[in-house]
Amino acid sequence: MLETIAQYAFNGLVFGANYALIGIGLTLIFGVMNLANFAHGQFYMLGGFLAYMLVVKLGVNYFAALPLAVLAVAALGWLLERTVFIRLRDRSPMTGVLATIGLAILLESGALLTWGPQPESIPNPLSPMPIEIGPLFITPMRLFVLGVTVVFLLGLYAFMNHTRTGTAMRATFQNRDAAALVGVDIDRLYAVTFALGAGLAALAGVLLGSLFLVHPTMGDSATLKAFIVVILGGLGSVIGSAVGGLILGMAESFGTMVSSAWKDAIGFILVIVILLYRPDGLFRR
Amino acid sequence: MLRVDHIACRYGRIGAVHDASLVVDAGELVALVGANGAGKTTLLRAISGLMPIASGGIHLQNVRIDGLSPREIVRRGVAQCPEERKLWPALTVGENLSMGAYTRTDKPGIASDMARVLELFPRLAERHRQLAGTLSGGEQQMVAIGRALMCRPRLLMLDEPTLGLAPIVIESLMKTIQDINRAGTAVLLVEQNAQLALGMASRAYVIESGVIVREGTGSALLADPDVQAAYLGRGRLKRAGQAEGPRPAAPA
Ligand SMILES: Nc1ncnc2c1ncn2[C@@H]1O[C@H](COP(=O)(O)OP(=O)(O)O)[C@@H](O)[C@H]1O
Ligand SMILES: [Mg+2]
Repeated sequence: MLETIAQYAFNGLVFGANYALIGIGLTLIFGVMNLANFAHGQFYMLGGFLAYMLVVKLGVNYFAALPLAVLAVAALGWLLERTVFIRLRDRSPMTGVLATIGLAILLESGALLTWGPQPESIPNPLSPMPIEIGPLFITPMRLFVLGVTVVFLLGLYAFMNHTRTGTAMRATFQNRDAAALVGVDIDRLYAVTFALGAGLAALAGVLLGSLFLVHPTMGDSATLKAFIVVILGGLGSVIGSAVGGLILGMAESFGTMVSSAWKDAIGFILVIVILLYRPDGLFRR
Repeated sequence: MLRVDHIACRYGRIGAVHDASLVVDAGELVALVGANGAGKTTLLRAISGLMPIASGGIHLQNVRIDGLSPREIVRRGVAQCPEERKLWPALTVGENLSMGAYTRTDKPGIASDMARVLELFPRLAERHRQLAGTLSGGEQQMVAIGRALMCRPRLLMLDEPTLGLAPIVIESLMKTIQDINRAGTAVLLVEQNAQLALGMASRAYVIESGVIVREGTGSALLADPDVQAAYLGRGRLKRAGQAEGPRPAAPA
């Protein structure tokens, strides 16, 4: 019994850490740029899609394809901010919502056209045989995925708190005019933020896509989950998104223990229950 | 040093500043006074590059700076301590101050300016690691001024630094502002509290409904019956130049 619980907890951790990556990206974009990015899940999808294309169609090594796919999506995020979202800045929030919904449809249809509707798996060179660690049986790939996400989450924490750009990001988050007044290049910071947020989603897409299947429409549920994570954590709180991601991952994992049919409903039930008691989410901005 | 020539600023189609001209020379302490809504904050935002101007021009040491980004303007030595302080409440006092030096790379210079700010406001040294949002109003204003000083400005613009502070805090704050000015930084002090600002400024301007209507030495304006009347709530000022003939051109 204890072994089973430990196994589900480990799986919850793997999911949760990835949900944290997606949620933090969404919260950064929302907090810094005041933009609710409804195309966030499509960056996640694009990460998995590009990694699949690189490995399967171009024969790139998996461990090279991973950073390449992430960087490509980050670059796309940068480009979109510099060309599209920079023009929508300071309009009504609804303008941004409509634009990102349009972008989501565009990216998803583009993926469907070039890729087709069938799910695919991203092959990786790691052994599929689980290894025994204490009470757990874990595939090397799951261990790799958890390792990468944890390194990125810690790195992100250090970046936000101990670098000039990270501090500027937090400052812009809290008061944009004041940041501009001390000389933060707001245009550049917005582009960095959008690239970072898109890249984090793409990273989760490659990693989870390596454990399961990737398909062109997987972005929709990822967007929903990202919003769940961000609302759970408290809109705009980075730490809150990390915690919210872990909570959702754990809840889903233990949910499948009870009923796998209800797995996807659990996130929404959680949000409703938590918001009933804490209308601002777990961590207020 | 700073020369603002007949500028106008609009929010959408509504004008907020219609005709504003002023000059601040190196080392001066100049006050800009006017009622709530007169356009003082808008004028400072325009100088800092936070909003575009619709007409006119802004020069710093004879180089045109309107149209430049706020970052470029800070780099040229014009700092603004904005209305309502606009600190980053979830950053520490130390982080707030350090961010003031965001455009600088001279580490020793930044360190010595940090030491100077902490000397100016010893209270902040004790609270260096505290979140700025947890400070009292007076302490927050110290952080806001300290942050603006961290870019080592030639011109420090302060937008209503006394707003919401207790009289005793205001008094010591004003002394500090004078000290900063005496140490060589030019100051443009924006205040609704005309009495206070005119009392300490070498020169001053009065703005009314987006138009600079008077200028003179602080003591002259303080003694001006029209100014006194306006600040007691009676009547409006006649625009300078309407009665007294053409306004002298701003010195280059
Ligand atoms: N963001 C804004 N949008 C529209 N109008 C504004 C905005 N900010 C200020 N105004 C208007 O511009 C005028 C000048 O405001 P402001 O510069 O803040 O005056 P002051 O700082 O002297 O109190 C006022 O009529 C005010 O209502
Ligand atoms: Mg004002």
